[in-house]
Amino acid sequence: MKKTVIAMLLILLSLSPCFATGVKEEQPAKTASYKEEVVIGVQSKTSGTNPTSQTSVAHKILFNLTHNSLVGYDEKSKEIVPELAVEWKSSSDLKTWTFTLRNDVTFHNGQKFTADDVLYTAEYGRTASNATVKSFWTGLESIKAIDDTHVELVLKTANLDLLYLISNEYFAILNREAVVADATKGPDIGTGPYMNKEFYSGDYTLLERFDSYWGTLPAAKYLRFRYLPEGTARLAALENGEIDVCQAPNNTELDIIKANAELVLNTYQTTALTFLALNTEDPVLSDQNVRLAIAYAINIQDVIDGAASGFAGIANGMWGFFQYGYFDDWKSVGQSSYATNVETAKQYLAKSKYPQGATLKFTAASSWTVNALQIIQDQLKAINIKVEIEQVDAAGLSRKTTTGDYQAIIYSVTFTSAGSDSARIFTPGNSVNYARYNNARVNELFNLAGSDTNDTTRKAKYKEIQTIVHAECPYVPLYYANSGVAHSKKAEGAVYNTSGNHDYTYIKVAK
Amino acid sequence: MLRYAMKRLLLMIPVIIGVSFLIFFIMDLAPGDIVDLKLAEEGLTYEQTEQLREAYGLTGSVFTRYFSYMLNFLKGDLGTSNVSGRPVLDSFLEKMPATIVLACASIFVSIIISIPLGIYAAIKRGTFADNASMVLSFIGLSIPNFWLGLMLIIVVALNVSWLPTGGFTKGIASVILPAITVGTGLTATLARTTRSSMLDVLSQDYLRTERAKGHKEFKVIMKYALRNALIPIITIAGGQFAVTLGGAVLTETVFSWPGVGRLIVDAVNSRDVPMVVGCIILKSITIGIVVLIVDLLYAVIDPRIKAQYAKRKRKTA
Repeated sequence: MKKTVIAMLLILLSLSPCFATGVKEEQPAKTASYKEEVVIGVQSKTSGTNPTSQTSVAHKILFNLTHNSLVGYDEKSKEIVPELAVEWKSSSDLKTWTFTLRNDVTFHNGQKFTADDVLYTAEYGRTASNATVKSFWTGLESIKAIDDTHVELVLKTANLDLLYLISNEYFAILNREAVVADATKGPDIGTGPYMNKEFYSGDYTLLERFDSYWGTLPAAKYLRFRYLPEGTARLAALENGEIDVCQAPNNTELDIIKANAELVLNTYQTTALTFLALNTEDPVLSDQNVRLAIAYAINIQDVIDGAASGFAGIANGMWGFFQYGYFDDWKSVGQSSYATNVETAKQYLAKSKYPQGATLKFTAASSWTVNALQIIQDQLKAINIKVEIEQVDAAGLSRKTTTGDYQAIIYSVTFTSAGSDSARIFTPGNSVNYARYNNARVNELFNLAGSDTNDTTRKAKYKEIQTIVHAECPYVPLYYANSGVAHSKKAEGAVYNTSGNHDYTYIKVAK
Repeated sequence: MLRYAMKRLLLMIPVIIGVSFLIFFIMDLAPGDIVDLKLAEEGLTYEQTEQLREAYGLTGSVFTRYFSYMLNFLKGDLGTSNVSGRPVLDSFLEKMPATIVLACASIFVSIIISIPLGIYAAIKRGTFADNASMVLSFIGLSIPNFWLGLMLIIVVALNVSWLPTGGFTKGIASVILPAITVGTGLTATLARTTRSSMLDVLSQDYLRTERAKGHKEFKVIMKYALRNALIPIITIAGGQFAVTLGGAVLTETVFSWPGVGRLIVDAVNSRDVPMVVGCIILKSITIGIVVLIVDLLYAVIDPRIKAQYAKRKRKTA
């Protein structure tokens, strides 16, 4: 009996390779001086290969490789660059946009790219599962193909930032024939330098070079994105050569990377702004003086040291430092930055309806934000503001912000470089306006700036918005966390962007 | 025995109804839903949310939604993930092979360590060896899985480069470290059960008879004592196997193991109700079948139980 049981277990165990889901690793061609397959260890899971279905950075990295939009955005030069459209022009009222398309592009299924594919993408987008995508395409007044290489988009309202918006990977152009033939796999077909070969959610995504790509061909034949959620394990995989690139290593392990001569570490300040949103509809926090008292009582450097292991840069305003129209010269407008000053904080509190202090509940949705709140909780004791900390998960936090059932929350937002993107946190009706802020003048200025083609006056409008918001303090800007990418010193050619949307198109790893 | 198996399988129907309703109800009580998450992630306006809730079938009372879900379930439709848009059954089946391999390998590791350890401790009862064996097994139970996993990665995968750090792409080599991690935790309970079960058996008269017949001590222990001590051991091992089949979330995370555990946890975090409910129903069915197989194994091991089944059969005939 015992022998039988042991034999059965041995058989089961020996069958395990049959269950293994990965592809058999192919040997790289001996003629190449670079590895045929480059492996990138990522910390975030991807849940699909349809570019119109997901908007997170983890997905955008992949869609940037498999698909093209009409235009792209170069984070280094901060400029819109041609992709499937070689040139574009807008009418003087910024409502009608005409794009001239490339005529040398083929999709991964061999179909030639034409204006009809843009029309189909719009048609498909109107029923997309992703609301951002659906909202844009349904919001168009009209779209028409002038001929095979010219498309005309007519907007309902003027939008100077249209090109920034459609440069996002989730506005990738799909192929009509592919999607009509297979609604599930069809959207995987793009015009990018790599094709989707295998996708195994929660394990890996394998891309294969598209040899008929319209641009310069990448060096690596395969790119494999391996999902390695645990930071230490991800770094170990890099150190022993299982992966070539390790995205977002743990801050506490950066010294290990620096000490390893075989590895290269790239660190950068991300564009994710972490802030404390103060609910302006709350009875206590509707008092501007209480909000300002909180802002001045917080020592941001201590928060960075405690919650981000010191790896972050102080944010000096609620407008991204990389965004169009950024302004932080507060002295020039008779204001000051929220640099820690407990005496100033006390003065603001004394002017408020709560001179003796107050008890507030702050909400967070992750362990690191709880750490930040614990430090803030301690700092606010100095001005007699007692803070209770409540932790919920992401969905719970979102429900609270929908219903307004909170006083203050700590959160991070990654803005695009367009100034208009800040409307998300400053104007009513937007999901990340966690301060529930509503200022008529600010709303008006965003509307005016959206169609203002004059650079100087447009920047002046954005400056005025920032000045008003800084004075009223619905948010306390905290920091921009640092992040990094570690890679083998044999790896080169990748472009690491501060938004985290890295470009691996031309990565290559010497053998 | 067939009748018994059929009866047990039929008993799974109320279990499935109970489990699915409980999960449905708890998911409904949890703050926030998938639309709330999308609201933040996709920068939606509040006006768009109700439209989305309608599309995801999140409107109406929890009872209405549950009834509708179960109607589809009876037609064999476990629903579609609200996150990936894929059928729940496809996602579950995709992850199940990795989970089965890990569960089999873990229980194998557990058995090959714990049974010899438990037998040895029972034979050497009260000695230093007995105490040392039990201390060892307790250490195994006390070490947190995630810590042990990381240490194994650093030592075995990184320092000596014998095995991969994780994933499920290199066959048997991939499964060794995760199996040791999960198996070590299971070992303590199984070793202790083996020891106490063996102690009960070792004091029985029939073993003295076997020894008097001149059988070697090794044969007495392994053939006559162990077989009679196996029932509680198999009960515990079967239960552990069933639990491991439900997913070992921490180990799966540390080793990037694409199993069912992480699938369910991810679905809970993203409030993907069809995925959570569907996976838990399938998990319940799997566990129910494993427990049934364990019960049926009793009859294979113990002729007295087999005789009872036969007696019942004769009575009903």
